[in-house]
Amino acid sequence: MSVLAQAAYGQTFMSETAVDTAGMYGPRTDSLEAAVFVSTQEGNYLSKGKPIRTEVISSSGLRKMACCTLAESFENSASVTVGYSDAVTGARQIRLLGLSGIYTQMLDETRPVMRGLASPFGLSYVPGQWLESIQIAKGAASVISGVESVTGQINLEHRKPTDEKPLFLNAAVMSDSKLDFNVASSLQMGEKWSTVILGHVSGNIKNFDHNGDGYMDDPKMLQFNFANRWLYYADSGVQVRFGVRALQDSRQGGQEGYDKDAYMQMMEDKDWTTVLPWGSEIMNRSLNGYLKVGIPLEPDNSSNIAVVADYTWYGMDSWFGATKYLADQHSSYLNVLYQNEINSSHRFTVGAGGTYDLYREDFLRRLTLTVQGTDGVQKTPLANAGVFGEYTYTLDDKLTAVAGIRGDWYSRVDDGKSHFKLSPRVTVKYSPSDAIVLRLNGGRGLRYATPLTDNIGVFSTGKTFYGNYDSHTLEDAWTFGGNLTFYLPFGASSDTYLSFDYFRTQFAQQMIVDYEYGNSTAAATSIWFYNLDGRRSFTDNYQVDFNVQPVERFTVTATFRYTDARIQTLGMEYPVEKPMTSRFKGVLNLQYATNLNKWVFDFTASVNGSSRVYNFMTDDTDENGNLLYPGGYTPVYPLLYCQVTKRFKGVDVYVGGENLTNFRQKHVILGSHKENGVVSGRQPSFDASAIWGPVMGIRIYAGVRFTLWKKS
Amino acid sequence: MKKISSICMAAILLAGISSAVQPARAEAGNSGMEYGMQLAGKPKKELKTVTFSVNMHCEKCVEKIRENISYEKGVKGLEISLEDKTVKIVYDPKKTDVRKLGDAISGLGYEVEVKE
Repeated sequence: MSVLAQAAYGQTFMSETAVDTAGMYGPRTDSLEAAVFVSTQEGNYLSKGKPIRTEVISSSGLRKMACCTLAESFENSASVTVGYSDAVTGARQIRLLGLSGIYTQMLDETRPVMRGLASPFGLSYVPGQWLESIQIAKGAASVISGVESVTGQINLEHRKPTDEKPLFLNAAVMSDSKLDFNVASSLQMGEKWSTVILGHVSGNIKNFDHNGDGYMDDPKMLQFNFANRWLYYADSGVQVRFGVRALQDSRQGGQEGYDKDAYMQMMEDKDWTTVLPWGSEIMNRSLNGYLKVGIPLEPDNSSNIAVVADYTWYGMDSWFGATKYLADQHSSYLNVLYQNEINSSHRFTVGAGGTYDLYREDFLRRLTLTVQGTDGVQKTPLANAGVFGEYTYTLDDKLTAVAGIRGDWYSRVDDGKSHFKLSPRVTVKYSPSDAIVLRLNGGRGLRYATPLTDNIGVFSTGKTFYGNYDSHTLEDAWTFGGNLTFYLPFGASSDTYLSFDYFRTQFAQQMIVDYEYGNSTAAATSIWFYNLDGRRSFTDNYQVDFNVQPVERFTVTATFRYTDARIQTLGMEYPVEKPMTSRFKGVLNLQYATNLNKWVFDFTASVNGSSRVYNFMTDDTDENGNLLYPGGYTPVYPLLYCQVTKRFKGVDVYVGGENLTNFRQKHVILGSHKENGVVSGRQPSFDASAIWGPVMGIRIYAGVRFTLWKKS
Repeated sequence: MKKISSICMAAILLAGISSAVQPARAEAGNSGMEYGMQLAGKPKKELKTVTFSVNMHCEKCVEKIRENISYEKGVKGLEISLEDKTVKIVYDPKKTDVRKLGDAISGLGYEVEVKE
């Protein structure tokens, strides 16, 4: 629908990503060169056309694995690693370029999402089946959506109102009793209006404790998620998009039988004779509404104005033992841009925009030895507003250079005053021939830290918090890097490539969460929060990717990533290796499809490198007295996944397994003292957030997808 | 763990065997002896090819045609080119014909013309 409108304006529209949002910001110069489409479609691939290094997970990539949530969609990705923040809440965390997902900006069709309170669980709030594709841009990405991205941007493309699928249904069940249901319906009502309705319900019925440590392996969860998006096409060419989303997600983790009121009372009374189960209870709710308007100023859309407005309310009521963190966040975002394509070589965008966040936090932490927090609502308004410009120069197919600059006023920086910050970003893509692409990229990123939710694992400990855990430091980092890709002339498809990446991120200011400060006893019982303030913190990331189709319908992808993350913590003369960050990861993915895609077989194997453990863990031993972490490092471990899909007309049936070797991190719950045979949650050394490997063992799943296509 | 990997491999092998066996099974009503012999070599089929010109305008059209036409009765091979706006189908003339295939594509909302 939207493409016809574009075509009417005399544009040839070839885009790897969905049409709708791309059209908002003018024509894309990334052409797919109109590939001849054979039966299979690439699952995960490196985009050839985009100036910045971008990995695309297409709809077939999203179907490779269970992909129940967005987090699981990244299991196959080379660039993005997925892990758990702790063993209790089920919060998933990603890492891009060796750094936590908080430094990656998540975009929903160019609107920033999953910010602030939403960042610990945000990845679980986007059902994988709602998505059409995901683009992972590494490095300092465009300034247009703000400069909160430090290591990269991940853009999510949802199913569109213009899809010709009036009904899509998906049901899946996992061996740990988790059930997922998704429904999507794209309806076109005439020439102007179209809508998509997205629904999701998921939850688990039973809980397991396979490792017998007394703590549930996965929390009890129940989630309801609903979204409705609209597109309106006026005769004048104006496009209006708006949508709403409502979400509720509840989780109970930790030990069975946790009662938050009873536990809180026990700690308040200092009743050390009673033993109650430690656990966590979290209720997350969110409402979102947005509006995007694109107004073409010329009949061929070479210049246009776009306005994006977004409002989100997010509420997180959480209890961990005798810690309560009840918070909500009102977030509003406005972006106005003017785009002009002067000719095929020069294009620029200028605009102004800002974000306003109002945090209300009620934090109280009752520990055995201290009480922390204010037990009353603390309001923190944070705002940033600025102007930006981006200029793109294209020379034939050979050179694309993008230079952007953004000047933002930040309402509150460390000294409590407002400051103006300038963030430049440059990307150059040079392709001397069809077979070689060189990309260089660099720029600055700035984001307000929300220390407790950025590091939600800290709640699942008995440790005392020290430092500025209640302040919102403005983090400041520069990222530089490049990518060199060679397209090789063999293989069944034209997309055989070997790609090399190097990126370095350096922090000028950072909120540090230090688990290791002090002597060994102090380190095991405290967590320090402080600003970097001139010390060194940097990460070097190297990656190699290889993709080939040796024969038709058989794809082999191999990638290897090496990360060197270092941070100069308080009291250290030199930067030390960041703890709990795996040094390397290798992934091999094989996919084979029979003729006409009727059977699809997927196999993924990953090898995950060692991480340095916290200094208070180096002497930990297992039941037989053997050191768990010889040399102070975790073991290298494998993860295997496999899935078989049978496809019929309109129906897909799939069966698969995750973590087939059943590798699990033993000794997930740390703490020296046990009560009733279970590690006690109220001792200062209690720590359920030292997670370096899989908490869940092998899981089998089965599911079905049903698609009804529109017929004329 | 090894068990699960073997199950996956077995599933893969099974699927491979079943797609090889299907053409033999299609010849129903044969004696067991002939069925056994047919497993060894597929019966020769005369497959035909037709190329249609279709007014596709984007990648989504390609996906829609591929996801639907692949499962039409008698379709054995499919190649879609967005650049040339063509759909080439290899089919079994005993199960379908050019008209049925053309109707299937136009039923999805496209203008279809036989090219060759």
